[in-house]
Amino acid sequence: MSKGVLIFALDGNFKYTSLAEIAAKRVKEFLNLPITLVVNTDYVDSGLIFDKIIKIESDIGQNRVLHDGLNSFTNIQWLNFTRCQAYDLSPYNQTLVIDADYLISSNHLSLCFDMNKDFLVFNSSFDLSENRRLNEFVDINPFSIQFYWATVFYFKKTPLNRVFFSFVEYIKNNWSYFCSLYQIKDPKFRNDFAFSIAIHVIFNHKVSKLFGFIPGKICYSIDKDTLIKVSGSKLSFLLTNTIDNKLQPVSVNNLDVHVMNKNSILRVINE
Amino acid sequence: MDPQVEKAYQVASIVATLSSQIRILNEEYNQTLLYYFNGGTFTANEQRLAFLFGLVNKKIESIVLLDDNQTPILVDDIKSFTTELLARYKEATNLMYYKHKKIMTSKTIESILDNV
Repeated sequence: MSKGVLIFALDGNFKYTSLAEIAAKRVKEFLNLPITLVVNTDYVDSGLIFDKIIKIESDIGQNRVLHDGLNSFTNIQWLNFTRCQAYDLSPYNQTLVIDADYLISSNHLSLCFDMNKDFLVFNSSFDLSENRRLNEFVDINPFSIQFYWATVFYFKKTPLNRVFFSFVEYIKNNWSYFCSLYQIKDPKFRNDFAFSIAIHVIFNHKVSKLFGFIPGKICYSIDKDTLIKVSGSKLSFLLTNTIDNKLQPVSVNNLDVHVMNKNSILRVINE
Repeated sequence: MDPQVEKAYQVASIVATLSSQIRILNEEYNQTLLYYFNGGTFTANEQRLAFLFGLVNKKIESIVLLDDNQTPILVDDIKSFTTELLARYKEATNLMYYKHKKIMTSKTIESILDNV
């Protein structure tokens, strides 16, 4: 069975394709898997990193504020409506989908391909900072269902998974209805929320051959944190304490990290 | 060094840095403890190993075990499974010991971060 990694990089006023190049190089280094890139521009792979590039039409984007550390922020276009097409776009029978800002530093995720499950997601997370309690990554709201990450997920091409992705698209197309049904306050469409709702409905959170969890936790740093150095499998950050805005330097080794401060990734790699 | 990073290094507390790094080291340790067998996930912890040694002592050769996600997994050679799980436990704890020692004996924030 063919297996590979799928990365979505839809450029608006932020160059996700530049991020995807960095993420892809790390996939090659640590997972050694073929990579397909999904773009909305005439992107040319000058570094020959990607095995396949698929161009799609992107929907109208949303706007979101993206912090760059503590002191600056920008409004970026967020073209996140196409994740539900992963099933149809993927050229692989077994696909690992990662965000362009997910920096892989271990071979941990290669185990997804051997776990004998049809669909895998992370169900728990690890904030690199110990001084934050972000409940938004536990439940989609305090009175609703469990939160699952769409940052990294694995799926096989099976009939039920086709239904799953169709249902995510249905949720996307009826987002205001699902927002009120699941008491989601922020009306912006988020794949994490759509996946959480679809997992609730289709799999009922029950672990089976059809559905399971990626072992371990997804590590993340928020956009108010700054990536300051990358050296092999080691990533160094300045973490922000959201209570008193103090900065805490930390280093992480052999752990994959979802680095939400995308500007800092580009800055560090281009240095 | 970037002035913001330099300033952060100057004002950060060594105790807070140690605490943050030990917490991250624990997470790395938890990930290293994970062992994958026959589609199941098993954490190589003391409790599981003690149970497995009990089975080996009773000369039981194969058994169904519930993995970390409560999925039943057939283990047809308990002895070799136990050996593998123990090896994973030793690898994780040795790495933890080595890194923990290096971090705890570091005198500056820079050296703590270098020793991760």
